[in-house]
Amino acid sequence: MKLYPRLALTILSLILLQALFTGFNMSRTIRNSNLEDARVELELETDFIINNFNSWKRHLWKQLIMIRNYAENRDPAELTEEELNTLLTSTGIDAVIVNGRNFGFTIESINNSPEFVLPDSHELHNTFNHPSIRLFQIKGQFYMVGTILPEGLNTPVDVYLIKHINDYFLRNLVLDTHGQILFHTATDYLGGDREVQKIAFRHISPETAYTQMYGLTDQNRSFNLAQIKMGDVLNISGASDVYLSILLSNEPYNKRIQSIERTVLTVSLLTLVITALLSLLFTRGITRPVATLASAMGHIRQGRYDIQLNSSGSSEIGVLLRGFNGMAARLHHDQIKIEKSLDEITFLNEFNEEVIHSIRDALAVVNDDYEIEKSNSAFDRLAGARYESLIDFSAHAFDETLIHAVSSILSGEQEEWNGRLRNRDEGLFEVKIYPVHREFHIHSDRKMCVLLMEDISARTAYEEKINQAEKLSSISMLSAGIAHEVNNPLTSIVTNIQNLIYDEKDPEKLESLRLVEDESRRIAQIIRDLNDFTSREQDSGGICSPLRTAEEVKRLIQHARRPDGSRIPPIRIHTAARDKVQDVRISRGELMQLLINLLQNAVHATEDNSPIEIILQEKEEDGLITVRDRGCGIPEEIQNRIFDPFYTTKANGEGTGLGLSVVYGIMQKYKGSVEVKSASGSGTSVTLRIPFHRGEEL
Amino acid sequence: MGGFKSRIFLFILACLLGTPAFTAGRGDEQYTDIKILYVPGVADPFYESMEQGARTRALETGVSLTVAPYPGSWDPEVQIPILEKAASDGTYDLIMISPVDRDALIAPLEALYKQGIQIITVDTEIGDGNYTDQSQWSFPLSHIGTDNFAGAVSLAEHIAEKAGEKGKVYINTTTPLTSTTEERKLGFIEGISHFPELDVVRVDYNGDLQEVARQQTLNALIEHPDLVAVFATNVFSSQGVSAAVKDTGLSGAVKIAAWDSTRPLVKSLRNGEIDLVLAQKPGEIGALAVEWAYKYFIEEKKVPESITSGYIILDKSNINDPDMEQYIY
Repeated sequence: MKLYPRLALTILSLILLQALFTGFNMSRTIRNSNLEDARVELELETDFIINNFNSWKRHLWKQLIMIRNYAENRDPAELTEEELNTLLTSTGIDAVIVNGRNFGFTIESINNSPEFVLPDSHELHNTFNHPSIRLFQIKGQFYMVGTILPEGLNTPVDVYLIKHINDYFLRNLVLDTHGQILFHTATDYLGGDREVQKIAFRHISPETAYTQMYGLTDQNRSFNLAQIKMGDVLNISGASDVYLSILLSNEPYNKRIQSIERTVLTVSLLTLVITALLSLLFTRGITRPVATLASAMGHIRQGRYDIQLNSSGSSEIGVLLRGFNGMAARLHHDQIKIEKSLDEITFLNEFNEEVIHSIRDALAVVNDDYEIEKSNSAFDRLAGARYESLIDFSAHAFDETLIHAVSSILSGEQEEWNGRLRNRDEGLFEVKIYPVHREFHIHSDRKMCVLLMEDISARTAYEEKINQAEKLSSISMLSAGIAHEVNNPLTSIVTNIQNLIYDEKDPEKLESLRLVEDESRRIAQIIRDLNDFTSREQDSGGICSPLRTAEEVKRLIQHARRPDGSRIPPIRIHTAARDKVQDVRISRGELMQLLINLLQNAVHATEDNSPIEIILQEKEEDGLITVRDRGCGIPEEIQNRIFDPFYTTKANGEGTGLGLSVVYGIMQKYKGSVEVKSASGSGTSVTLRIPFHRGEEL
Repeated sequence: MGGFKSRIFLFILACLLGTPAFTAGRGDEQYTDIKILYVPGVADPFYESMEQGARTRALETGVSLTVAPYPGSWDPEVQIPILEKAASDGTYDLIMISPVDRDALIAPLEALYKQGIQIITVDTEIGDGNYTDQSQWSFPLSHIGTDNFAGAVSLAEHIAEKAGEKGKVYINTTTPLTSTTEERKLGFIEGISHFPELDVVRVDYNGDLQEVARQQTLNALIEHPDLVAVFATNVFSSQGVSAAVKDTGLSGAVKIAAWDSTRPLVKSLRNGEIDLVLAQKPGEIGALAVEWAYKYFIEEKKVPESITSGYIILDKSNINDPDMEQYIY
């Protein structure tokens, strides 16, 4: 719930509660006060009325005593009418009746009181021998009668001083009061306000002489009632208790309460309205700034810190807004700093990435779960894709050797690992593995290591070639000397052997001589091959067509047979369009020699009839001549020795071991190269790379 | 706050546990070897109520209480023999007595005192009631009763208000030899003297006879037809005065102040025949007498020479209050 409705509801509820509470308490207090006031009023009214009534009693009594005293000197029967009238008018008594007891005479004197009804004198009687005041009910009329039987008279008379308690009397009795009064017995009306009669009869309490009742209702009127026992009244039935009932309206008090309640209600309503308005004004003073603040905080959430609020005033809201402004400015400032820092970090990060990826060598960081934390492009290219796990990488690029090496570093067995590994593509890599220093891993307890892999395939091949060339050069020099020294005696030996063969008739000796001749010729061949190998100056500058040369070689040896008499495998030549095969810079004879040497090795390696292929290709400025077989292949461990002079895998006497050395030497002469790809059981492919002839190079 | 609550709890617990100790000897039957003789003034509800209060207290303290026969009239010649016989019938440590004659009872009581019996006067006194100053009648331990003078002053002030503080006032009393009624008369006169327009015009002594009181009142009403109020100093006076005023039909016109809230007087009050009644607390007087006797003999405390009990004034405004029932005897 929003602030204003909540605040307004709370305050209005409080006011309502307060109004109810105040109204209730005030009503209660007023009612109690009313009750007390009503009690006091009723008591005062009652006392006033009773005192007035009693004063008439005393008055009558005094008159009786006066008559008594008078009678001591004079017979009351002798009172003249004038004297009686004077007595009546001066005392306010309504009538005087003198009854002679013995003689039955009656003297009556009546005052002309309004509404006076003279009682029947026979209804009056005196039972006391002393003055007394009695109340009489005679024929529906109510009288206060003072009675005296004066003493010492010759003729006893009863003197009755009569006061009619009629409406006139009662009106004067209650002069200046607003009470309604009624004289009554338990059953009969005696005098007064008949309206009070029903109520009075309903509430008679004979046990007590004085009763006060408050808050009685009759016909929607509220009133208070006092009932006083005033003695007894004599009537034809005897004596009955006389009650004086005084009734006062409670309406003024009720009106007072109603007025108070109305006032409280009005004030409360007014307070409610004013409070509602003030609450609205007050809450606006809070809700508006709060809404502004909320909106500004929305900007902050969205990262827009450059916001300032209007914050005038020294109130708490103003302090809050100024505080917000300060916070926003600080955030903005920090944001700028952070952005700068991020930019720097990003730049450094990107720079580092570029640097890492620029490194040609493969670089990777591996953790102790063999997960590749970081790797550069060169590393990923080794496996053909980026792998998360070193194990997966190793399976695609290398073999388990890499895993073992990494393990030895991560486990701490070794401080560093250096070695050369060949990948799946036969490339040779120099691998270095180092542990990562812990001080660089402040956020991680994991062990890590750095893998650095340098592709040394070309360098190694080049070094091998250099070594090979140096070896060949050394051997060449040595061979040249040996060939020169051996050639001459060999010529003599061969000549003499031929002469002996010519003259020998013994078959056994002849066979031996022929054997000697064959062997001598073989030595001569070796010498010639060695001369070929050592002579890099022969046929330099030649040009030939690789296609025609290959076809010629094919014709030459296609029909040759193995030592066991079986035919050699078929030889197939593959090329692009015949007319597009360019000439290469090598003499025809040397190229033929190269092809023959390679084809010999291929035939030797191929035990079945798988074809041997000669493939002619072009690559950039060079022609490629590949001789490929599906033979037994060359084991990897000897591949770096195949170009060594005199190195052969053939059985003793089947080859000189100089074939590939010659190929190598000739390629070196023509600034070409030879590349061997072979694997045990998968055949061998030897590719000669010879520069094209460009015409002006001759 | 926890400690405060604990202390309150412990206090309440101690009170509950200590209540038996507190009430030991109060309300439980006890026994001591103290014997008290109660000699009332006359057979009327006042002294009967006093006896009831004394018995209750005697039960609580374990004191033995013996009540002498109630005199049929307020007469020393009736009371003295009852006193002497009762005293001789037993061995008492203390006699609590309402002397009907302030002078006549001095010698008999002194004789008993000299036998070692302590005396406490209740309601009425001997001599001038001063037991502090050394005198012939200063031997009683104490006098316990209503402060009659002060009560009468209060009563006078109340009746004066009801009478309008103006007019003539009449007093009907018993005998000048009765200390209590004399003090009441004097107190009433003193109270009326506070109202300049009120005047005590006549005082009659009715010898504690109701009919005499009635006739005297009648005469006073005739002699002084402008009487506004009458004070009757005791029960019989009150009843006589009330009858006279009622007979003359002047009930309400002449205000009546009575002493002692006997049932007949209370009935008259309820009927409007009497306007004021001063209710003594005779039960309290009897209880105080027994209690101080106990304190004197058992706890060896000094008994004050004068001990006053309370009173309350009843009128039409409170006579129907249930709480007032306890003051009616």
